[in-house]
Amino acid sequence: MSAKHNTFADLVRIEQLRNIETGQAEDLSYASIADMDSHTTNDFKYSVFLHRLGTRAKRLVQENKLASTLLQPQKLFTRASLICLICAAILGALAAGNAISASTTLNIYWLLAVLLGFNLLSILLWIIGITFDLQGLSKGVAAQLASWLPYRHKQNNTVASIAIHSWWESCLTGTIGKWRISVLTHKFWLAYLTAGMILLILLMLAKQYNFIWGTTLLPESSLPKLTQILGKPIQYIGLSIPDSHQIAGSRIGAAKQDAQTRSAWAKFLIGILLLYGLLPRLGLLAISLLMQRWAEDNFKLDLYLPYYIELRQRLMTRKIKARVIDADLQADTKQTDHLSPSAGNTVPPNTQAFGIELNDQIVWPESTAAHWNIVDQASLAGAIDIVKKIDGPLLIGVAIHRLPDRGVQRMIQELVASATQQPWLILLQEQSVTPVANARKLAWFRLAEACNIPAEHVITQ
Amino acid sequence: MNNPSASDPSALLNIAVVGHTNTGKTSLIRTLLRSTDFGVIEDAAGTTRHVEQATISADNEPILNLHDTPGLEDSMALFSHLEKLSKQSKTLSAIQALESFVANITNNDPLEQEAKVIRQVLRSHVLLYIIDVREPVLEKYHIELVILSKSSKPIIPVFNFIAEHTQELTRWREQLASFNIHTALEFDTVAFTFEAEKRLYQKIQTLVESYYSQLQKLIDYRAEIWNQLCLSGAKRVAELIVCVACHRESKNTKENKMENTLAANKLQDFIRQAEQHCLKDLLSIFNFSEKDVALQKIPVSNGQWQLDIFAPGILKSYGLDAGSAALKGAAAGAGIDLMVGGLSLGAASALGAIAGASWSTFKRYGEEIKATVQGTQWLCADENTLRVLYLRQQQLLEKLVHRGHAALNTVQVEAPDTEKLPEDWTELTNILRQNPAWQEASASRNNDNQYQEIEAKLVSTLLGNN
Repeated sequence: MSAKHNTFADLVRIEQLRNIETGQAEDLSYASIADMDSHTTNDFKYSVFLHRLGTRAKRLVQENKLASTLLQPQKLFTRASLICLICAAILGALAAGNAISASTTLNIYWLLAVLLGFNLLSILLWIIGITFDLQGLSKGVAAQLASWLPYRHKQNNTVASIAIHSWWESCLTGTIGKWRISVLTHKFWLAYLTAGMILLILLMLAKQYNFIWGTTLLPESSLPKLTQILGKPIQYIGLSIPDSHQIAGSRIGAAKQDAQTRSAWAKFLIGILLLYGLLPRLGLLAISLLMQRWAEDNFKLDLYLPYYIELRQRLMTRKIKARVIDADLQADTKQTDHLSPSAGNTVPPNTQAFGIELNDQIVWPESTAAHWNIVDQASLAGAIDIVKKIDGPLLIGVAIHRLPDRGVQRMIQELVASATQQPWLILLQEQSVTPVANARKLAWFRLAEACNIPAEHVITQ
Repeated sequence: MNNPSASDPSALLNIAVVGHTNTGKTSLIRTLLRSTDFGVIEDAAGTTRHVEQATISADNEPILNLHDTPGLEDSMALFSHLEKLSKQSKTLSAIQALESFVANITNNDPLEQEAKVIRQVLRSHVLLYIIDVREPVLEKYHIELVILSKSSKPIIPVFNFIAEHTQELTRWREQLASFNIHTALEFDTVAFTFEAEKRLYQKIQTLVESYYSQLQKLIDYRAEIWNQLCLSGAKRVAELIVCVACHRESKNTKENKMENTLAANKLQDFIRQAEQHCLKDLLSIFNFSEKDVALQKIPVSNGQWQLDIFAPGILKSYGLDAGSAALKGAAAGAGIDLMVGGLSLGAASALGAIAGASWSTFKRYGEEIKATVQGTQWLCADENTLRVLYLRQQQLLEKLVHRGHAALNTVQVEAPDTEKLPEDWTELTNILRQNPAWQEASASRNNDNQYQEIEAKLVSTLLGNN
């Protein structure tokens, strides 16, 4: 079977179904997957299992018309994200608008502070949060509030609420959630900065502004110095920045600005916003998107959960590959037992005892005199010689716990054939008596019958 | 590396499993196949009267064929017959004598079963000669080895039923050494260990060099599957402990005996059901049938634990001090602990101070704060119940991991009592009790460092014993 790779969306859908089946299984219909349980395989393969899980989920979703319910959380999130971005754009525009006083002056450092200052602070918090895995810092308050919402206690779980909760768990928590929220955060700030910058450009296109700056706490030279430092990278790409005269001439309360100064400040402002605002955010957005993609590609179902274990047994029944290559032609003619083991016979007097393959743990009845243990061909030949010469009855001892096989049967047959009187068979036990199954006793009685020893000549202890 | 099956799929490594009757040949194959569906096992001689082939694959690629053969019941008669053949034609080599024997055997011949064995031996690359070490060392076994060695095929003697038969094993080893056989292997089909299976394949690797890479693939694949299996079992038990330890039943602080008893009963039922579910899953993971349960002497009947987790005396049976629960004010074995919401408020404030106005504080401790305000108390599983729960699952897991597929009459050796609780057990369960949100699996739970640490501790202790 070709195991197609499941996408992240497929896995989320499987997880959503897991939660729905765990909580509200009675609401689902399973007719479309009835035939899936019979699938057998030689070896278990995770990729095949995942593929089958995906197929099962698709069928269940189709049968129970769950597609829109399962997609609803994603739609809600997209909608919420859009609202966030619109809010960010409005905030950015308002911030930029605020920097322009009622008249025709534009406060440069106020503008940089509201557009880039907060942005910088947010970037720093995000970097610290990501580096030290502090979700509280990297997520932001709004995102934390959003991730808390699904934890609200619900009295009645519905399929839709479980689907939302499950989507939230898969997409907004853990590593995936961290990067998804990061993407949203960066988009938020991009919208904020872009809106602010566009508004500024539009205003500067439509009206003539004088650029001003001023400070209450900082030394007089600090802001001109900062302008020089911030402007250096812009100069490298060929754009001009205000020179020291132009900067000095823009101090609040200074004389009227010329067109060249205004143009230099405008270029400086747009360059700074692009270089220190939009470009880093775009870079971080790209990184976050890549990381989100990477985390989604690495998302794995917790296949050790009871739900998946049960499905694994149902969807991936193992079947062994076996065949008979040298058949038993008498397989149908199995003998039936008509024997019943009798007990209580006692050892007749003057018997000559011979044991078959006995170990030293075997206990003979006290009434039996010296006995011979047959363990090999030589001892069998020796025993047969003796049996031929004895007058009294022959007593053959076997260990009851051992299995009578054709080899033992042949030995007994040879002894019986040499005996002059009707032989006896005694089923001996070891010192430490262990219970013997009735089937084992019956097997010895069958052997006795095959060796022409009547059942009443079989002694059990 | 020479790879015979790459060019010809039928040229798989063929292994004949041979030996005296009822030594556990079919059991060994079942154990290697991890299936009780193969062959027939009975407490009687000549249960297997045909040659049956089973294929073992690695990642769906067939690697070797195992052949189950009838038992060699009368090796002395077979040996005499072969001697006779050799005497009749002095030019016959040992292997030719075997070939002549299988070629001329008739149906209903007393040695028909032996002929099937020899036929398969001649078709195979390696012979696994199974020895029941509980049997006395007899000449007939030596003769069996002599006959098999005439085939010029490498023979690996495999000692079966070795658990608690060390003396007998030593005797057998000495005897084989006197025949100059030193490649024997211990593989108990009753008390199975994966290490033994690995060594078996490694031994075959050294004897049939041309199949080295395929066997290595099989060894690696089997090891991976085995680890996954054990990990699945251990993780399932860890899930049970987490689920029970995190569970809370709310209780009104106002004294209402009837209501409180109902809450206690509800909690006990929850624990019983959770354990029951875990038992079902574990048996399912390890592919255990009802027959296996009886064979391994697991105290389970009709898919349920025979002894209730709250039965009197269960603490003692797991070596736990019954008195300690009584000291806590709860009846021993009642399995109930009282937890007041305010208990964790201190921790909440501390965390809140660190996290500032973080929503995570409310997310985590919201319920506690609410309970403190409303005066709610919780019932949760007590320490001893959690301990019994853990130890019982550990014992079960031990039995499942060491499951073999031996015949029904074999005396099951009880696994030694090596169960132990993880280090910092009390601290670990306390943390779990403080995190009710962990009761259900979720991505946020699984990504939580503290949860991961606890799960890893539980799993490693569970697997450490196996």
